[in-house]
Amino acid sequence: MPAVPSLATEHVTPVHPVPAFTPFNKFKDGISFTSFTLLLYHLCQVYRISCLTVLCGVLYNALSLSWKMGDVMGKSALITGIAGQDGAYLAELLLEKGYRVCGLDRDVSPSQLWRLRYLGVADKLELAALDMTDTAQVFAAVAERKPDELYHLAAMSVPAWSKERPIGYAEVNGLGAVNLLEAVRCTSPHTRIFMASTVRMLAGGRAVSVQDCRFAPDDPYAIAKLYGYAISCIYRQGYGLFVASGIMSNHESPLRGLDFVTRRISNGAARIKLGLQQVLELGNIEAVHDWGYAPDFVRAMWQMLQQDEPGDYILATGESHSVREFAQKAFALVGLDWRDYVRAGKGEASGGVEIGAAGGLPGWRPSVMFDDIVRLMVEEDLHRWQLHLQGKSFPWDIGGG
Amino acid sequence: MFMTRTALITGITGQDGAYLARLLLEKGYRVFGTYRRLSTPNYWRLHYLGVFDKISLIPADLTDLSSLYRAVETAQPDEVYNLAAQSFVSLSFEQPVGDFMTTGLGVARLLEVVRTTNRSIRFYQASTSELYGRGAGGMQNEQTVFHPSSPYAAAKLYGYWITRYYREHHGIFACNGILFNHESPLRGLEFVTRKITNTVAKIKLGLVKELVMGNLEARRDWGYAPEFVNAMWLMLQQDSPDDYVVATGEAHSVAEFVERAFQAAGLGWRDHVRTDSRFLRPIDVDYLCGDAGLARTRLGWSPMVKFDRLVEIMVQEDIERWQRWQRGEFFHWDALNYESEHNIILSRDRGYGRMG
Repeated sequence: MPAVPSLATEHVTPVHPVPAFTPFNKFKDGISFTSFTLLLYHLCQVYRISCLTVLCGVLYNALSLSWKMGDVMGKSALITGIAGQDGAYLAELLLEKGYRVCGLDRDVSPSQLWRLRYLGVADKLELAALDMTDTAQVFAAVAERKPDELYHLAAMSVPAWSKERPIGYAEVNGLGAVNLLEAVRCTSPHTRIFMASTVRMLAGGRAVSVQDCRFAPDDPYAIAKLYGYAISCIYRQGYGLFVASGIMSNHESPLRGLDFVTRRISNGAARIKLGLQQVLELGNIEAVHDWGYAPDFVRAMWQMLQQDEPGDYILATGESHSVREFAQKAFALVGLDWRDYVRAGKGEASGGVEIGAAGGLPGWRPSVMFDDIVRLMVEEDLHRWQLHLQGKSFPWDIGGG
Repeated sequence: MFMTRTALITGITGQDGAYLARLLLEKGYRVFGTYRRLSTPNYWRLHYLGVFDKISLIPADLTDLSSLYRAVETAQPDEVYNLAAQSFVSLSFEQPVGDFMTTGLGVARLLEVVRTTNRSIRFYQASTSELYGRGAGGMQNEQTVFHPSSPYAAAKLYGYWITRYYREHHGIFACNGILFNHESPLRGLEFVTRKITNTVAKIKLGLVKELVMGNLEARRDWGYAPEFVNAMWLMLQQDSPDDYVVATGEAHSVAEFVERAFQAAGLGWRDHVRTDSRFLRPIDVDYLCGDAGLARTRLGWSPMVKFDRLVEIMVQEDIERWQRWQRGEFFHWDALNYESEHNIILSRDRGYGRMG
């Protein structure tokens, strides 16, 4: 595995300028085939160009389009955990690449799908309900579709809550993982599988690849995820399946759930700015995390399944920041001093895991770093609350809609 | 006055369960054991050691939390030894899902029962050298990184960490015994050591002609089970809980075991041994050798029975059993119910997964 130069010391310039997150008039690059043809026809009428020229133009357009779609044309993907942050971004990415996408989640009723509607992809997917702990249902879901690629993102994902529900977390995150792998082995062994894993199972340090790491899972969430990681390696080595685990650090976005501290801060700062709230209560603000940008991470997931050989990669930014820094930045963005509003609790010191470098996945680098993540999240939450106050309805996890 | 202590052993019908029950009875414990009720009772080991009538049995299943709750409520134990598991590594490649439900999740269920009923219960978790997996090299101790190489080991990995979690976050006196292979005449016949000694005994008495083997190159650290259960007990008698490697510190190959077993029976092995790829695992652990330094210094535990003696004990016992059988004696024993494995279909025979 080629080592990627450490990202910890150098400043990473985003590959593309960070786009403002404006979902309501979200500009899609490229226009549809039909409208392009109609436009050409119209121009032809106006400028009296010969029909042959138009035909050539149309053919050229069609050829170049199919070439651009290239080898992903007609591929199918199954995503578990479609209703979550990563599920939504990944669905968007795969649809853009021309995949047929089927999304599964425990509950696919409309109220759960705000993220998919937010990104405007809810109607472009096949959706079905799936309980990861139900082996028969998992088998049926895989056997009926036999997808080219399977992204296993479904999990109970709030580490802190796992202390109250160790068995439930082991059932969904551990048993769910082996159910899925077994379903692929028995019914669709050609399927390539991405397994969402977590740096919380590692002891951290300056590790670049998982081979260099010690394991130190500290809560039932991470322990169940460690099992999922270990059993994935065994299905790759023992049964020859294409299984790749992405060992991911925290990754955030305006679609993050409110159970996570980043979104609690961005949402709190927005509400305080608008006078809707006076105080923001947080846990231990000294906890340090490596926060990446979720759309970057789903791009890595896809890239991992396009490799020649399956492998496990640590996905992180290589930069660590404290909750305090996040709060400081977030409040500064709305012109406030965080110290006037944040009430920090004790909480557990165990925060995230510091990763020395984002390791090894060829051709992947995070493009959006800490400052921009905070900015995107705060701007979006401010925008949402402003719209909400204007009485507008839109897909959101707070104000209904 | 010495208070009678009570122990609950899950998996009491297995090799370790039976030896541990005997040890604890000798120490004056009241012993309860959970077992899975089957149409064919599996009590031969308990009878063999003469402890069947001295223990109490509670039907329970690691997949059923309520049954575990009732077992703990019934026994009111001071110590719980979680030995129950699907313990045969090869089988775990056939039923990985079930393995996690019992061998993995079962540990969390039992610990959750301990936490909610009586936090002062001391808890022993049967962890395993299989955690180290393939390519460990050198000597393995409590600090060596785990690379589990079977669904069994992955499930045990979960059990190991969840045991540590309950110790560190709930203050439960919970210990992992990372036991290397430990064998005895009570070992199940699906395990390679007992398969060898049983077949060698039959060859010796002219009952069969050949021994069919899988991977002869695998090297393991083999100890004697009755000594290993003593280490389990010692772990729970310390002032504070910890994890311990229990091993002999010697590695020997399966081929050496075969050779030594034939030697113990006064036979040459070359004429009788054949290999068959159906006994190969999808991934096999190549080498395990444990460093039990911590158990030696802190528990005062060290093994007396080493490799050569172990093989002798097992071969002699199996020869003696078949001789008793030939004389028409009745005794509790497993080998008569255990024929060859030629008609067992493995999932790889059907092409499930593209075998590496």
